[in-house]
Amino acid sequence: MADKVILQIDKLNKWYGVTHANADVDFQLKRGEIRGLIGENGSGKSTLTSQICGIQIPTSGRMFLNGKEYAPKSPIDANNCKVAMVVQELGVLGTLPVSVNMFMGHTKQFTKYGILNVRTMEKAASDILEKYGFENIPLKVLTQDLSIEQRKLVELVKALSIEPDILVLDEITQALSHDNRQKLYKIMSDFVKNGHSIIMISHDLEETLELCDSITVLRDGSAVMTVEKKEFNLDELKRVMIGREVSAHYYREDKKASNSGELVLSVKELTTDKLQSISFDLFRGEILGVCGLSDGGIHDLGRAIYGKEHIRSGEILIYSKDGVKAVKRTKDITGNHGAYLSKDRDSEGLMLQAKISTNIQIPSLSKMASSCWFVSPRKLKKLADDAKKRFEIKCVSVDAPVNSMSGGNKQKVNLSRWLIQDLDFIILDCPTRGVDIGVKAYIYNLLEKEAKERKRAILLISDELPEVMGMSDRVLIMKDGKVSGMLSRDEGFAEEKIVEAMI
Amino acid sequence: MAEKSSIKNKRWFKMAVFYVCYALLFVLANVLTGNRFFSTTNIISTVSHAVFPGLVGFGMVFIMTGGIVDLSIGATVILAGNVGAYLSAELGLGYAGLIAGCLICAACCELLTVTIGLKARIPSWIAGLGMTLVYEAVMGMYSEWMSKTQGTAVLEMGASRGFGRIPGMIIVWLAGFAVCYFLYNYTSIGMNIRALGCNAGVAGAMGVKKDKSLLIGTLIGGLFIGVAAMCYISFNGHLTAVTGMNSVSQIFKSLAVFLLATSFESIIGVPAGVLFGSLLIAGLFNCLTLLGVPSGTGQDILLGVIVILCGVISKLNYKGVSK
Amino acid sequence: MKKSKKNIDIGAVMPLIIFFVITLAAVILTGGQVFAVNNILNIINQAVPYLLAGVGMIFAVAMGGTDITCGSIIGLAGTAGAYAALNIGFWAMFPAAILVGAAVGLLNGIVISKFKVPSFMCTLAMLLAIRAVLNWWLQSQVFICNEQMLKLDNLGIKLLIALVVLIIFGYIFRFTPFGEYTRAIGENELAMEFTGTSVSLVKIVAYTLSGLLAGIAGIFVVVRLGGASNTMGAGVEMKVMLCMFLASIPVQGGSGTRIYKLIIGVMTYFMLDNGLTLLGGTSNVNQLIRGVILILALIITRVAIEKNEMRNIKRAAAEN
Repeated sequence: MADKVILQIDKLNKWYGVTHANADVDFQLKRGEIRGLIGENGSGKSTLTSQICGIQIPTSGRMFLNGKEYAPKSPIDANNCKVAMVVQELGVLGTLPVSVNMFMGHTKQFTKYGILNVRTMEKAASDILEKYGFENIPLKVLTQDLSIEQRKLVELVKALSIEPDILVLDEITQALSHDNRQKLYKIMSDFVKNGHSIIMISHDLEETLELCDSITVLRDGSAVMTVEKKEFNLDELKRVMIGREVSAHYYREDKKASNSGELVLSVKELTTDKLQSISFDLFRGEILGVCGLSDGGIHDLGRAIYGKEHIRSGEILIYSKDGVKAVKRTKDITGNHGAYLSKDRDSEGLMLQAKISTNIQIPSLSKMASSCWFVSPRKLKKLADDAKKRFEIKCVSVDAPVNSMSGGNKQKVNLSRWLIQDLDFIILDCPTRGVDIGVKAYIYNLLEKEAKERKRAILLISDELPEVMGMSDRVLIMKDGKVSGMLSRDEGFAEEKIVEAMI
Repeated sequence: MAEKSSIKNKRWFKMAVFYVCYALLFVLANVLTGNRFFSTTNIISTVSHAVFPGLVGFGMVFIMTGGIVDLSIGATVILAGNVGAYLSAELGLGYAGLIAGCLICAACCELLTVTIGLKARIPSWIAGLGMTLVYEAVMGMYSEWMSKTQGTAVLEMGASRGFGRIPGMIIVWLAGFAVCYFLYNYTSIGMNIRALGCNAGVAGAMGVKKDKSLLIGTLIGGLFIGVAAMCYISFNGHLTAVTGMNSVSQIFKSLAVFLLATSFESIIGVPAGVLFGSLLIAGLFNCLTLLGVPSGTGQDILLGVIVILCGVISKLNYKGVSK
Repeated sequence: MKKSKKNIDIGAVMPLIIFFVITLAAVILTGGQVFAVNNILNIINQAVPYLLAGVGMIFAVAMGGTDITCGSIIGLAGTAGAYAALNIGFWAMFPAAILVGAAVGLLNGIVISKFKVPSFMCTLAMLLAIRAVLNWWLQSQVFICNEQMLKLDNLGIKLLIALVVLIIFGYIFRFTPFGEYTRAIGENELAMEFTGTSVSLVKIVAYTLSGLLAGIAGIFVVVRLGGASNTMGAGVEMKVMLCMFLASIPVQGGSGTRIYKLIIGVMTYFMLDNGLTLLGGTSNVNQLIRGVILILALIITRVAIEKNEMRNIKRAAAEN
């Protein structure tokens, strides 16, 4: 039945600098199939799809579309081969009208001597929107004036407008409301009925199992398993995703929640643009997990506590040995034995071109200065070397640029620069995003030690449920910017309960 | 449906507020100057002073929207104006020489500056400053040579000054707006440049060729600047050589106009923003003159302040990092 | 073979290479005239204000910003200094010039950090505005330096003050948290904000320091001229910028920004400028050459740094 295979990928490899993002991936997609890609963050799902879509060029390996060699140089190339995508890397262009956004890259059909026939283009755009049932999206306004959901729908319709054979959907459902999600499911099932194929990535495992005809599991850049619908088994898939060979010491083993009863951080009725009266207390020696959908406000919570969001009402109090302090801005956290790790490590965490040592030293500089603001280079060097030793950072020397390290080691640098300080608590936003399995296990181990042996408080924000369940003493569940549940480790975390509160 | 009408309402509302505020500012100017502002001669003078910053502003729309900041425009204007004057007056080619000289010279200079910035991948504003030094020096050498051979540093335009007189220059200004509006909203090059200015990465992925689009934009912008130079030298009669980067201050009003226009983007669009902005800035300085603020000192101080204010306004809701 | 190559940082040796090439060219073309004792002294004498202004500017450049107000600050601060010296007393000259410089710098810093106006745009506008203030001031008044002030135009005093300033600000730049912060902002401003350091405050202080040093430079310029003039200091900002880029100080700032590079850059620039003057070109020819060399220096630096980076990454990949 070789004629049913539409896309064939052989031994695809992708290197980003020193990171091996895709390792010898073999992949086959059949006509009329919805294929789900699952795997933990950093397992190479998006890397794989972005190569199929021509956003990234493979380092080595070959792809075949309908039996013919397929090597897209750009998304437009891919479009011309009838491959379309809605992916995170490609957004919309905010300062252009919606209709132009729909046809950007395909404006030739409306262009004569470089002049754009705006009227026919708008007509075409409105026809397509109507065809898929999204006629309430306005066409003439600038795209930046649309809601995030509407922008995602514009991207979806744009992708469908070229009538592709293969449609790639990367994390699209998150941004959609219930109604539009149902519309999307309908569009998807109609689409594959016509013999086209879909590759989809979703964080929502249940949804993936529900929608897909087959699932490929990726781990550490390799495609480790592909299963058909009749063989779906949630537990088995999860086991393969995480690669539980190391399971014995992967997450925490104890089943009891514990903390030392001493309050370190208290959030009261916190309200921002995206959050609605969030309240909770964080105690010394505990790991408080925060989980929910990515757009459910979990990341905003961390940023808001760290003083990076405009706070409308409510207060954040720090209890340290120096007394109680209200947090107004970032400095109040870092100045009172607190720290925060952004989920966006490369832009909001590290200075990639700078030395490893500089990256480690920066947060501690003001605390190390002696008289005349003097900071001794010798002490600084020692600080960096100590951090390297203590956190087993793998590098030639601390003078090498951070960019020369793998994602996992970068994250170790990012963590170490805060953990070497005298901390009471730390807020971690997706600390294991984009790191390999070895470092992941290391970080879990480290977090347990920091909380239980060194009695620090950890607020662990993550969109990976197993991680939160495996590590936390208590779990705070968020939905639509509100707290929708709080569970304790003592009761044992039931996944269904959490998921129910999340969605 | 609810959302559709609310957005539309908002836009109409914004536009109405904009026009009312705009009109009020002029009324205010009239009150401040004791009814002198709305006299016929003064209105004509205001509009004629809006022509040059406006035309340069239209040029900037195509150069700077894509993310390039070119500071060599001032030197380009002086050089192009003189080339036009030379062809027109010295070689006796009249209007044809003026138009051809200004347009070709300005387009070439702009293309050269932007090409250097793009191909060498150095920040465009520094490339612009470097080329400012070069163009100014070329102009200075021409001036020296003219002094030796002709006895005067620069040519005085005698005839062919229609572009600097009242109906001519206003027609050019309005025609410039029409062309700019059309190119910006109704052509693929306009769309490509706007796409690049919004997000170069996404635009590239959607098939916009970055360097090519920016260079075509620069060519269009350069032609606008050529037109501006043509009107400017016709209006002034001559343009003297300046050195040491002083030519940069020639385009300060235009820069203020362009920055204002970008902050009007979601209300009336950038080309109309330049048109209204140039009139606003011209009106402001006209009002200052009427109030007795001396040019060269008091007005220059205010010009600097206004450029900074326009910069502030254009970045009001900006959350990212700016260097 | 590979090991021995390891520690050469092209960005660090590049300024020396450029310096030697330009010096060699100057020596050959002028037949050794540049090395006459008088000429060397003359070069040093001219270079001091540029060095001072450059040391100030380096704080802004390290952050990836730029401060091109210094030309006008020199003019205004110099005039303010002369005014104070003539009307209040000789020693009032220093606080007056320094305060004026610092005040302008403070204003720059606030506009750039709080309102996110691109630094070159803000400082360019300020350059024009401050020059206009100076014009307005000098319209009605004339300031001629008295004898006591002219005594300051002495190579020994200049070098001494330059040295002291260099040591103090070199120390601040190299050994204090503030100096590290400026370079870190150049590396990644957003990340810097996330470490809890007030980036706005660092920026304001940096631009203030830059203005302050330009003010000190203004004192030397006014005493050298013998009186205040409204073109005083014009064009200094471009020349200082040229000094920096000639010495491979990266435009985007960051840890490659070093004071020693600035010193080499100033020497290189004056070697070039002096050579051109001795060769008898007109000021227009010199400006042309300066413009071309500015762009060439930028291109060379960028290519060198990029190659270095590629090599680093390749080596790291090979080691993994």
